[in-house]
Amino acid sequence: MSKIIKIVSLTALSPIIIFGLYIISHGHLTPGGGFQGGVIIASAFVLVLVAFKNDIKLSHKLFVFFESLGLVFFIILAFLGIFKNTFLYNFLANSSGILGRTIQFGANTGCLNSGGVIPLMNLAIGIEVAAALSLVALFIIRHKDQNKTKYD
Amino acid sequence: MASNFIILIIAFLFFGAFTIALVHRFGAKFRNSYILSILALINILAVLLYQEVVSKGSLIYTVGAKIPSLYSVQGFPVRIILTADALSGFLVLLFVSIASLVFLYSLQILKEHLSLDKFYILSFLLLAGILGFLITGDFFTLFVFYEINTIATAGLIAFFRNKESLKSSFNYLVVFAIGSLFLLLGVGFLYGKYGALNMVALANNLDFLLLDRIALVFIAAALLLKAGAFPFYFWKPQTYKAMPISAIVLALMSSLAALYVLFKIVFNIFGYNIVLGWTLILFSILSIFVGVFFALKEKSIKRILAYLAISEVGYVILGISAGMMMANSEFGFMAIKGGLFHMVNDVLDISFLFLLVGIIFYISKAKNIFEIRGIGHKYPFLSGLFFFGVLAVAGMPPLNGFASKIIIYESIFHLSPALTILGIMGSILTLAVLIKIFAMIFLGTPSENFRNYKKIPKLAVSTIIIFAIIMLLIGFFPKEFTNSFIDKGASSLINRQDYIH
Amino acid sequence: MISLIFLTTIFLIVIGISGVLFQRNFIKIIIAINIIGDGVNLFLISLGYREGGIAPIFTNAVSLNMVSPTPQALILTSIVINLAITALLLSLSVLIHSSENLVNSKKEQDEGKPASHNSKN
Repeated sequence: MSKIIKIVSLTALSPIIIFGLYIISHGHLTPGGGFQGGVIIASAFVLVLVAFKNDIKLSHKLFVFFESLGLVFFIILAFLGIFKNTFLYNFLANSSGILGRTIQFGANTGCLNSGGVIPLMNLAIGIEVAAALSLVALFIIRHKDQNKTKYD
Repeated sequence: MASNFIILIIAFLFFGAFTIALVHRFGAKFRNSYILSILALINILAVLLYQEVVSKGSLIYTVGAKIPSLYSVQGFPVRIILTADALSGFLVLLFVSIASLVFLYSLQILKEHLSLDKFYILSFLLLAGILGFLITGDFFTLFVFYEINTIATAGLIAFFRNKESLKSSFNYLVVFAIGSLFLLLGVGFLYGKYGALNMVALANNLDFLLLDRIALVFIAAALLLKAGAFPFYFWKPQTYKAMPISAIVLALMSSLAALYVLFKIVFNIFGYNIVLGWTLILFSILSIFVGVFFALKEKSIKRILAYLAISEVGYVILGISAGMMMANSEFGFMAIKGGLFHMVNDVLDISFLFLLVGIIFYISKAKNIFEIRGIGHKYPFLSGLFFFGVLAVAGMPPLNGFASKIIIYESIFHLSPALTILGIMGSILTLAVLIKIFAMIFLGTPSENFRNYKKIPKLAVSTIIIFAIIMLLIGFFPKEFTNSFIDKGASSLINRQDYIH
Repeated sequence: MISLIFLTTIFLIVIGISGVLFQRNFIKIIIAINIIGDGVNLFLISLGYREGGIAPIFTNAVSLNMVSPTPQALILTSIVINLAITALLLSLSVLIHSSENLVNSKKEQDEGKPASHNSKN
């Protein structure tokens, strides 16, 4: 790809990632959430991969690590609910802990500090989806140059 | 904490699947011991779950709240509900033990393959999906686990990345994407009419008008597609040919779990229906005959065994749907018991044959049957085991196939004698197909190079011998087996009032 | 008279199924599967409509008369699953293409043709 596309894609990387993080973190107040924000961040990586096909050093081990990290974080949060009530119980909502405030009805701006376990789960899912979709795109774009005998 | 066992089984399987990718960095031995420890934990949880279900009756578990109240504050019903009764508790225990044996088998047979951690991740996800099928309590969880099964199986089909595996996986995914979208459409019809998705609420409120019948047709078609019964059997042979052997056993269990869900929905929610019953009986007879007739002209052993699996699924559907037709009589209950018993025997027998074929392919590295003709002269032990499996599938007296088939034949004789005659004909043709396979592999003039075969893998053969011992025990003591496990299961299947309460 | 949404749903599903049955190119089959998924999602969302309701978001609510959010959760799951199936199907078509130069499922193939990026039909 030409030089203009390469420079513009690197420049556009930061606003797209920040926008994706905004959608992930406000998932309990506005439409959006973990999955949608994760897809937005993945699209940033796909943009960079399409612009630089082989000239950039993005290894797939990093993405595999973040994907596993997101999934393990999610399932540990789900297990922690067992001590209070049942699996996947929202044990931080309506409490005096970290994320425990409640929102009133009616039109207000909402409060980021509410929602219980949901923003943490959104974060885990966002990391996981971003890493997984970037991994799929990495494989599709780069599979011809891989060593064919080594399946990993 | 004590009643969390239902969800802990699936949660620990998911946890194991997610962390294998991290554990894999520390070496193969650590990963193998990690897998075995998670499997041991799952086995213990399955035994505890079954004991609890037997002592306390059906369990209901709500994810996210203490009691399954149907409506939250604003009036929107938002709960995921899991249930376990005697039959699903027993099936969970059975499938978990068979899956543990198959994982032990695969630790030795697939040892030299390079991307083995992905195989274990996919197998754990498939096992979690199968167990989730068995304990689902509302239709949306059913859809989610159906999709988990589809995607995990598609990954396992394309595991050896040769040409026909990739094409088989593509075909499988196209067929099942459409099937699952029709399942979602049927669930959507039910939601639009009644406003609730969990099975107990639908069982209370269902009236059997045109819209419910359309929803039932869509849902039953999607579940029969997963089971591999008559009009939807075409994906099985090419799929089973391309998968690794340990994954074929998991796919078999997935088909039988889908059959269990179909019959749970039909018995408990939609009620007895004459048209549906006779349709299912017709489909089952046609499955039996399709299975044996198309197996006669095939040349690849995995495809022949896949057609035999289709025909055995036909026997299961025949037993249970005939029991549905003779609803309130003694013989109806016996037919249902026969069908469920045959489900257990089917998964044991066909898995035994597949695992044995896997060992033969492992020690000989052959690509098809004709290279290893006459192997019975060098390995008489393996040929003896295969003959044992042939007798079990065909239904010879001291083994388990005979016990379940005789219960099915006796009880459906009272519905219509023609069905018994067709069933016996199918059994004779099954025997013909099996003798053909046995002669193809083990007898005949031996080909040249038997000397550079590997040694027989001890761990894999010992897992197969465990299967054979279980089959012998069930065959010799069928009455004790059915009394302790199957009776409670069958009665919980037809006992509609207890389910609603 | 059947309402417009159900007619659109049936239309989309019929187009999708006929696409899967009659198209040969892999990418067109994948697009047809996506069209069936869109039809089913459209049908599910339309089930939650309440007369005069607004979007079910607490922090934006001028009144409490909201459309039902349960089908929105259902189709969110369905969209994610369709995305996973599409990603898997696309990866498989890339692998099939690289191993045998095949972009469609015709029985006869030209043997010596180099891998071209124009899709045959």
